[in-house]
Amino acid sequence: MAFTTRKSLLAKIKEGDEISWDEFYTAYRPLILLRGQDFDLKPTEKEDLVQIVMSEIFKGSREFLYDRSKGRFRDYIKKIINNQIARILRKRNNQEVPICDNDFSQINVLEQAWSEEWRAHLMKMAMTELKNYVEPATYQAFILYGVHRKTSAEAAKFLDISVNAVYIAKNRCVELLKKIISDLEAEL
Amino acid sequence: MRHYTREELDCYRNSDMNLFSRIICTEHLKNCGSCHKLLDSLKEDDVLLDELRGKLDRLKQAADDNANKLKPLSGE
Repeated sequence: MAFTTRKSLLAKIKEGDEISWDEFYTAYRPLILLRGQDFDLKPTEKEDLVQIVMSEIFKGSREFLYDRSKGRFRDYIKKIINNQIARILRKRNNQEVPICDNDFSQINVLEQAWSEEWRAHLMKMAMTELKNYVEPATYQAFILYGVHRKTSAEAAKFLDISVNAVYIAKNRCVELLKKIISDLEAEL
Repeated sequence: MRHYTREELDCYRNSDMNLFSRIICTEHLKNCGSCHKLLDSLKEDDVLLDELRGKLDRLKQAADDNANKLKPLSGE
């Protein structure tokens, strides 16, 4: 049972609801920056990349609705990001010519990096999603012990709960995370 | 034979259990396949948590690095 009335990004994706610019920007900006990093884009180029990708996806609208007939979302967004990176690299060299073979080979070499980045993105989304499914105290205990590497005693003392309660929170959150990650992998 | 819960096994492996209980748990684990399996699943969860921490750090670092590198530019 969710502890919030706000509809999560995963629920919106599952139910085919529209997703707002802000929500999408918050969720996808880190992934786009990471991909730009793979290609050694400059900081300003990476920020440009985020904006261009967002514009390409939203196409002037304030909300986005993904058409599933286009295939998996992860492939759709990867294609957009890679195309825009290639465009930035061409612009950097003032080349108004199609992408050369070397650019494509570089993209292929970085395919493995994309898989890792996508997995990181899914995990970040899963953490956001998790917050909607557990009580704040449970989430806080998990963040302290499971993410910030505090000891069970430190987390328990900070939250004024028992060590056993910290472990209960951790185990509950891990089980939910596995389920959410699996759902996200299936949906995206 | 009473089996251990996930939380009790967490206490056991993280030394949050007193010495006497720990000795009993060690003996129990030698003969109990299901508790041993549960202990193994907790170790698998640790792998997931390690991956989670690493991935979240990487995403945060990418965003922070970019923001920091942009600061001098915006001040110009």
